[in-house]
Amino acid sequence: MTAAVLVVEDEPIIRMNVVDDLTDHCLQVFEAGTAREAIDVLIAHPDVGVVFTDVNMPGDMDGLALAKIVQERFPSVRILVTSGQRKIPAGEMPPGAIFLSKPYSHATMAATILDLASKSMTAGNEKLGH
Amino acid sequence: MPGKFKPASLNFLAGGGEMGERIRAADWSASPLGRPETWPSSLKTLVQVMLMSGQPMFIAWGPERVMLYNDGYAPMCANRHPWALGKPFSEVWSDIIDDVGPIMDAAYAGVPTYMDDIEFLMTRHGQQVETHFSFGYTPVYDGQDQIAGMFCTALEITSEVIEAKARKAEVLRLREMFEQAPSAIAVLRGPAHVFEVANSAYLRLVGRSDVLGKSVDEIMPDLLQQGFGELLDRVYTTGEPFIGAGVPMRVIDAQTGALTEHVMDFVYQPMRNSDGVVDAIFVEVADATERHKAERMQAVLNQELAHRIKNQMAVVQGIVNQTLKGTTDLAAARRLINDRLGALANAHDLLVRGEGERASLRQIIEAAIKPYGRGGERRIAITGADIEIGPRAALSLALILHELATNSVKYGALSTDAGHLAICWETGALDGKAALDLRWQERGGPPVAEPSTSGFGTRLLRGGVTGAVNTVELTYAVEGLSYRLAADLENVLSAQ
Repeated sequence: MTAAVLVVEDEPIIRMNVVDDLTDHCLQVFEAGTAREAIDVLIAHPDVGVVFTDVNMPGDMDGLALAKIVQERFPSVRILVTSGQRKIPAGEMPPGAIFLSKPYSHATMAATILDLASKSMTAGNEKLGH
Repeated sequence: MPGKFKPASLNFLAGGGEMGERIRAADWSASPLGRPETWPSSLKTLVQVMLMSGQPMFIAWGPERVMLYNDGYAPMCANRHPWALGKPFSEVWSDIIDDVGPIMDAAYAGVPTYMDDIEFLMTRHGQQVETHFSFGYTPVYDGQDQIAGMFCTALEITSEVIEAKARKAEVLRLREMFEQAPSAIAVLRGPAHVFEVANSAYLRLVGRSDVLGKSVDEIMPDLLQQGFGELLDRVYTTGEPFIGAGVPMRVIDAQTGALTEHVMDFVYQPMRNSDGVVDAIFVEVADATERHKAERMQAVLNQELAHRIKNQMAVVQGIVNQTLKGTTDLAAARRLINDRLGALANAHDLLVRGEGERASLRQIIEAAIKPYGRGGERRIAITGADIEIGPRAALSLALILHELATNSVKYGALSTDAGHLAICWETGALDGKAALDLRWQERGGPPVAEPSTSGFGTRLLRGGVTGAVNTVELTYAVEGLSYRLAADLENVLSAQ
């Protein structure tokens, strides 16, 4: 079974579009509007293998802070980061995280997430203490 | 024979132009001087010198101080000429005798006087005019070694003095302009950069008034540490001007001692002496801190705007995709797309009109209701103290309210005349933080049931306000739909 995907984006219409696109690719998709909500989803759904997060988000955590927590608490989860404001250098993201610049083509986005989801499945999904 | 003797004795009166002729033609027998051939030899010599000279000269002779003068002096007499010839000095110059009388008295007492610039008000051609002369008054002795008269060489310098006055006025005018100039101006003299000139704007800039005669080193040691000393030295030695635009400068306030960051535009212009050697530096400084701040703010705003436009394009793309998704009725989809983009465009309009990219919450709500309000026919109550919300929240709320309104017109309270709608908001608290609490409550419409599928509108409502931490309650009660949105106030007001 392919791993589930969590889409973290505070603009509901963009989120809707991404969620529908991934659902059309037969992926199970969860969504969150803030980093806090995302962590709740990750705890409730251990089958999530990929997190696709925007950087700029309201609340006390942005997408980069979320990526760091995901790497620490859910190390098997693959991370894809996106931003329209600046290009995030690899050094600012957890090792192995990928950056996708906004605006992106939905085909590229979906292909990247499908690839990560298949890798996540092979890596297993064991949780290290959350 | 007297006929032979006379011409020989009057050779000293030869030449001398008009005045020579007048002196020769005058009848001196009634004058205190007597006939020329009887004049003492010292007077004869002086008259000869005077008549031969092109320089204005006059002689005052005898206790009566009788005047003799030459062609050069005649213009100075103006309309007193030729009447003045042979008249006593005090009579000729009665109008200025208070000024020149003492000088004449001194010469008769054996004291010569030289005066570089004497100003006289003279009557010339019936008008009072200001005139200037340089004068030499020399006592003259006769054969008995007694002072018998006075010899004066004069030079009118009125035109030179007036020119010099005009030049001085020009310099004063320039200095005044310089003093009033809005930019700070100073002149630094010599290799040690000593303040020779500093206008009031410059004194304000450095916060002290005692800079003249002091070196840059003494006045602003902190600036030298920031590299401006080397810069001055380089301009002084190379003669190359330096123009600095938008240069950061830390300035110590002389009164408070506080260190403040400024941004300056300045010019160091070398000044050369008549040999072409640099001997000073002209300094002009303008404080560009405020302008710089405004430019930086503008750049940030532009960047934010560019980002928002990119984001809005993705939103438009999303609206189109979501509206077309699974639809078979293209005409209906086209209407929906038009209405949704129209709602977004209206909200943009409100943002542009609002101050600093903000929009009034009440106007955003009214704009969403307006197409369905039809005046007082429907009971729509809008209550809440108006607040100015940020651009992301405004655009997002406009879409949410549009979906609520269109849904209500189709299925809810606004679909019947009996229904009514209450929209109210207040600022309260959400998880201990200030929050905007907005409620949409429909009553009196047809019975409401929860939709079986989750469409674009429902998903949008559940998503809440973009860019804000929020909680949403969407209740499909039988008596009417209610929607409650509690969003972090700081996020909602944010300019981001």
